[in-house]
This record gives sequence, structure tokens and C-alpha cells, in this order.
Amino acid sequence: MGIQLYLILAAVWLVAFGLLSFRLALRKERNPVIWFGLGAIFGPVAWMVLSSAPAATEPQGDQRPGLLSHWASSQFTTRVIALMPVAIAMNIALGYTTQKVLNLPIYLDSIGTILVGVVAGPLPGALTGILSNLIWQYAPGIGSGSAIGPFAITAGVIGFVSGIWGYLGVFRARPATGLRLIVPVAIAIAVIAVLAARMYTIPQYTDPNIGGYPGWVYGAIVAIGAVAAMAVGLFVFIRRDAAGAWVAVAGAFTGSIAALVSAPIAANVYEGVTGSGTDFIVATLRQGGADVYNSSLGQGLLSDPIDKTITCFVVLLILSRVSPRLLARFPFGERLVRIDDGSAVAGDGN
Amino acid sequence: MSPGLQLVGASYRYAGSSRPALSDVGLTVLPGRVVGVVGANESGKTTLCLVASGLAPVAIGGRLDGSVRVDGVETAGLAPHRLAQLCGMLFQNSLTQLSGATATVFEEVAFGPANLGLPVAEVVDRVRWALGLVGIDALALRDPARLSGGQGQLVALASVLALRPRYLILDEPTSELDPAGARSVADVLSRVAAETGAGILLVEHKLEILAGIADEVVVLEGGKVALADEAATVLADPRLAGLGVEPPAGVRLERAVVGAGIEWSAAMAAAIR
Amino acid sequence: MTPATEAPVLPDYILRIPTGTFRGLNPLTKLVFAAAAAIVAFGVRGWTGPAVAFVAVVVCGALSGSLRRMALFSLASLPLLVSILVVNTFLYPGAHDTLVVIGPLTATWSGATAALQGLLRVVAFGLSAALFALTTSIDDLMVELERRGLGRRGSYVVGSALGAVPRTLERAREVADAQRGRGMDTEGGPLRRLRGLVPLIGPVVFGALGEVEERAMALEARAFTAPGRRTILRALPDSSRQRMIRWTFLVGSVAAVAASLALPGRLP
Repeated sequence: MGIQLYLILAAVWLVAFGLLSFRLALRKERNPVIWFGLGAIFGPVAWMVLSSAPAATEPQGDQRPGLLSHWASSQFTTRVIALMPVAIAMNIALGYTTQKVLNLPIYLDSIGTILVGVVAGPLPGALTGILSNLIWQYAPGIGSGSAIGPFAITAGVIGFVSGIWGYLGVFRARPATGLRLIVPVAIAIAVIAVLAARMYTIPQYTDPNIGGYPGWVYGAIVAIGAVAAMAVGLFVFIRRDAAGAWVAVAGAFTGSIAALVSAPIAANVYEGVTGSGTDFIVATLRQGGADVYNSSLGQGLLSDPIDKTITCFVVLLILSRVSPRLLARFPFGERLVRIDDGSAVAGDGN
Repeated sequence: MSPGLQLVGASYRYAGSSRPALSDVGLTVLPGRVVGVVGANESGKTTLCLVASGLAPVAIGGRLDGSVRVDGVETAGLAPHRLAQLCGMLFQNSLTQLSGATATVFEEVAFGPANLGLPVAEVVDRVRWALGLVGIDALALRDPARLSGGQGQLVALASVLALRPRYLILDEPTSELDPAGARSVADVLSRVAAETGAGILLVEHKLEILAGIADEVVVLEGGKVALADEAATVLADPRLAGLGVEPPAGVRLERAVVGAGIEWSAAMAAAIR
Repeated sequence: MTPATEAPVLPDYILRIPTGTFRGLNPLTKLVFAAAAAIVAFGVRGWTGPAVAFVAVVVCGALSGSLRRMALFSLASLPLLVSILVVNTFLYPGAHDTLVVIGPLTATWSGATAALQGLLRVVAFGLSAALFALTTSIDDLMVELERRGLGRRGSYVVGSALGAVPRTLERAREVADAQRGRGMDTEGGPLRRLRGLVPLIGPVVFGALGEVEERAMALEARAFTAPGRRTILRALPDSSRQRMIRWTFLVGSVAAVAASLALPGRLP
């Protein structure tokens, strides 16, 4: 009974943490103790969940696992346990290669995290993200000094949110043609436009006297939005898959949440910078009058949604190519593919 | 309770596949006997291994019709960790088989027994026994990630043996070994069958190995049993080539020699053992 | 088989008990120390916190003989440190106490102070992380955590990931080299580099995913899902004194942070 109480409390904390983070971020809360306290939830919760979850097969004796403990354990089947190290290695290898060898400003270090979240659930996704960051920090030879570890919190949140997308079946292929493609794209564009408008027109951001953004930021946002809308539209129509629209929305949300969680970490731990090329954006925003927190947040909101949307599309493409037989046995496999006894179908159609 | 690993009318279809990978397969592996399985590529040999060990359908889904019994007990309802102690399976790829989470070969071989929660003394005993049986005591302190393919395969074999299964199912265990290594594995398998009384189901491409240690041989074609008989009979059967299986070198040489009009003697047969 | 009445003595290459004043400590103690240093470095604002953490970490580094390697480790974060210094000295918001003017950029005292404090903080944290990484094998840490109830799945995921990382990196490097041989640019315009990225992802991802099913099967075939606790062969030394040290450090660091927040301005 004690374990179940723990898990219920943990679930409540996680939900409250998400909502509270959002509010605090909007209010630009800068007290490090609060962020540390909230952020430290993930580690112990993950530990408790993994150590208290019973073996994935039969329960011992008459100790029947409670609902929450069963929910946690059901996400960590053997197949998921086999997938996680592979996904962690994918994150690190692709992230490192992209940044160091190819020198591109996109990160691609969340492919594994989002993939695990979508096929296995929020908890495996969160853990994959957290462990990827911690292992990368310590990996001999390519460890990035001290710049990665604290962002494990962001990675955990990304993984958790991806689990929600997986639960909702966002990444399931939705073949369609003609008019039936236009509607999802239109809805997606509308949702992203509303999200962007809400975030970028908050008074703190528009009034430079209290730390707002210089004018060019808004021009940049409009340009990025237009390019993104075109890219998403092209993707949807060329592949005749309406899932592209939903994935774009999911990616934009994930990126925005990531930016909101990262900003206080960057501001308090690293005085607002991260040592990568995006610091130029931070510098320019500060030049325009934004304070430490807002410049980090602004940089995040400019680069993270794009990066995460690209990553989500990559994950969508990967899922479309992986054999349905492999996916079907994952906890969320049923939401991605449908296996009949006769033939394998991906999504709703043939 | 009849002893033996028995497949009766086993048909298996992978999840999401329209055609069956195995159709109406029947075979029996008695304790202490070695049954070889041969066939062309895609004839269902690996599927047969998965079905016999119970991993299909428990671990990978799909549909199994017919029955698979170990010493009279249906494997269909058993949990994977119970199955692991009844039928040990050695996969073809040694790299994915090793856990990758242990620092020494000793601990790698101890992985299985440790999972069962056996006391430390027994785990150590089993590991030492398995390492000795396979002949890799010298590798005990090596890092499993740094082994060659062949060495990895031997470590995997020791790991499976450490679980002391009643039946051993091996999918091309010598694929990454040189001829000398392959022969030593064959010796190990005969020893295992003799010393522990385990029944062995062995899929092999190198028919010379089967000629040496198999008691019976089963030939698969298109998921069905095409031939099944005593080893010597099957391996000398003229239909083998038509089923996509090249007879062992000894048989081919014998045919060539006899075809050239020379008498085939026992001394010649012994020379190419 | 007669059951042994006492545990057998395992060979050294399995027990692998670390030696040394600092290295010989239980992995959990070293972990708590690193965590406490990080907490103090980040939680106690101003100069004192980071300075104390820095000194403590350096002393232990000297004790364990890993100072030089720790310094090299920190070198990896040089771009970050430079960035902190430059961006904050010149562009600290709301600062008007000018230090020097270089062209259009104005360096300020508050900016420089914040920059240096931030620098010290990050360096202290980086060194504590490096100290932990260099003096503790992850295998030891996992064994200790498993002894305290982590469970075989957590242990396996971390251990297997550590092994998989170099393997996957190698594969990525091979693919990148092959692409370069085929004329793909790793320099050149961003669009060209982006196009070169695409064929890289495929082999790495699908090669990795292809293994998953077989790895899962192999785990089942080795009784990974058996109920109950797994047998742990290794045992790392611990003592009640170390336990006391751990609690003291943990509680002490949190208390220090709380105190610095409750009584602001008392320490530099």
C-alpha cells in the first residue's frame, strides 16, 4: 500500500510540476531553489518506479500490483528494456555526429528519446532522455564537459511529453488524399499560429523597457512560420499522409515546452548561455534589452520548436519504415500499427 | 510423461505475415541424442529453433498451431524464465546475444544463473563448470565486448549451458568459427549430450559437423519436413542436392571416387573424417 | 551438490575492489560528495558557495591523483566558459557601472562579477562531475545501487547503453566516412551539409533498431524476467562512518543553501 501511495503522490507531483513550470516560466521565476526542487523530482520518481515495479510477468503470491504500479510496470516490458540502451546510444551518436562532425546548428539528440516515448510510453521516454544526458556527460572521449547534465531535466520532459503523443496515436500513419489532406494541414497551421501569437505577444516580450524583444524577432518568427507551413504542407501532400500535420503540431508543442523548461536552467546554472552557436542569438537579444532569463527563453523559443519538429518528422519517417511486426509488441504498438492475422497494415488503410 | 522435446503438427505464422513459416512439422529430440536440421536458406530453420525453444510465440507474437511439448509438458503456457531452464537457445548472431552489460566473461556467463536468484556458491559452480565444458577458462577475465566473433559465440554457448537446460537448441553455432573451432564446438556438444543427458537440436550448414555428431538429421524445405531419418542415411541421400543442401565433402568425394570406377575403402572414409 | 556454508572467495578480477583514500570509498559516498558539491556550488549564490565547492573538489582530486585528468575534462567546456565570460561581461542586462568601452560594447562591473561567479560555479560543477567520473566506475555504482534495490532492469539499461555508445558512434563514423568518400561535404553550405545528414541517419537508426527484437529474445532466453531479486556477485565495502559522512554532506549542503537564502547578504 505504501508503494501505491508513493506512486500516486509522484504522479500528482509530475502533473503539478508541468503546470507549475509553465506558470513560473511565464512569470520569469528565478529562484534556483524552486527549480532545483521541482527538477529533482524526476530522479527519485524514476528510481522508485523502476525499483518498486514488479517483474513484468507474474505477480508474487497474493501481492497483486495496484493500478499505478501496474501502469508503470506495463511500460517497461523486456522489449522496451532492450530498446532503451539502443535509443540512448542513438541519441548520443547522432547528436555528437551532427554537432561535431557536420557542424549543423540542429541537435538531433532527441531522436531516441521521442521514439521511445512514442512506442513505449511517458516513463520510458523520460528515462531515456535523462539517461542519455547523464551518460553523454560522462562518456569518455566525447563527454561535453559540464554543459549537458543539468539539461537532463529538459530531456526527461521531452520524453514524457512524447509518451503522451504516443498515447494519443499522433504518429500513426493516416493515408488520405485530396481534400481530406487539406483539413488537417489547415487545423495544424491554425493551432501553431495561435500558439505562437499567444507566446510572442505577452506584454513582457513586446515592451523593451521591461525586457522585451527587438523588432527583428517578430519578423523572424513570421518568416520561420511561413517556411514551416510550406514544408509541412509539402510533406503532407507528397507523402499523402495526414499524420504530418499532427506531428508538426506535436513537434511545435514539444519544442515550446522544452524551451520553457530549459530557460530557467540556462539562466540560473549557466548565466544564460550554453557554449554553442545559439549564444549569438542570446547576445543579440540581450543587446535589444532582454534580461538574462528572457534572452535564454527567446533563444529557446526560436530554435527548439524547429529542432523538435524536425526530429518528430524524422521519427515519423522512421516509424513508417520499421517493420510493423517489431512495433506491434511495444506497449503503444497497437496505436501505431494494426496487425491482423492475415496481413500487416500500418494505420487505418492499406 | 514421455521424455523428449516433441513437436507435433507444429505450424507457425509470424505476426503480420500471410504465409506460414512452418507447416505441420513433427520431430522429437530424445535426451542424450543429437538431432541435426539442414535446409536451404529461408526454409524455416531459424523459425523451427524459435518454436522449439518456446520463444515463438511467447516473445515475438505470431500464431502457433499444433503442440510443442517438453517432457510431456506443453510449452505454450510456460513463462519465459521457466522455458529458459528447459530449452536453452543459442542464436546465430553472437553480438546481440551477449548482454553487453558485464565487465568480464565470468560475469557474462553468470548472467543467466544470477537472474534466477541462485545462491552465489551455486552460480560460481555453474559458471566454472560451463567454462570448463566449453574449454574457455582462459577467457574468464576478458571483456566480452572485445572478443572476436568466434570467441563470443563460445561465451554465448557457455552462458546457455550455465542454465543447465534439459534441451539445447542451437542455430548455426559454428557460423563465425574456423574449421578447428567448429570441430571443438562439435566435441563440446557431444560431451554435453553424454555428460548431462541433454537433448540437442542443432541447425547447421557445415554438414561435416553433423556427420560427426548427429544421430538423426531432419531436412526442411519451405517450412515442411522433407526428409527425416538416421544421420548417415539422410546425409548420403541423393535427394539432398535437390532440396538445396550440399552433401558433406565426404559423401561427395565418395560419389566421385565410386563414379570414377575406384573402389571406396574404409581407410579412405576414415582419412577424411 | 552440497550447499556451501559460506560464500566462495571470488577471484580478484571479479571483485575489483578499488583502492585509494578517495577511490576506495563506496560509490554512493563519492556520488553524494559530487552531488553535495554541485548543490553548494549552485545553491549558495555569490562567491562563497562555488569557492568552497571548488576547493573541496580540488582537494579530493589531489587525494585521488586525478587532478590533471580533471583539468583536461574541464577543457572540454572551454567554449561554454568563454561564452559565459564574454556574453555576461558585455551584455549584462540592467547594468550601468561601466568598466571599459570597446566599440559598441560596454563592459560593466556587475556583468563581470556575474560572469566570474557563473564561471566559478560551472567550473566547480564540472570538476565535481569529472572527479566522480574519473574515480568511480559506473559498473561499481550500478552494483551498489542494485544492492540497495534498483532492480535488474535499471542496471541492465545503463550497463548496456554504456557498451552500445562506442559501438553506435563507430557505426556513425564509418557511415560519415563512406559518405565523404562518395563526395558528400562535411564542409560547405548548410544546405549541402543537411543533405549529407540524411543518408547518415538511416543506417545508424535501422541498424540499431534491427537488433532490438533479437536482444529482447536473448534476454528472455536467459531468464531475465524471472521474479525475485537477482544474485549479485560483487560486494563493495561500506561502513557506518561512510554512511554518516553521506548523510552529513547531503543534509549539510541542503541546509547551507537554505541558510544562504534565508539570510541573504551575509556571505560574499
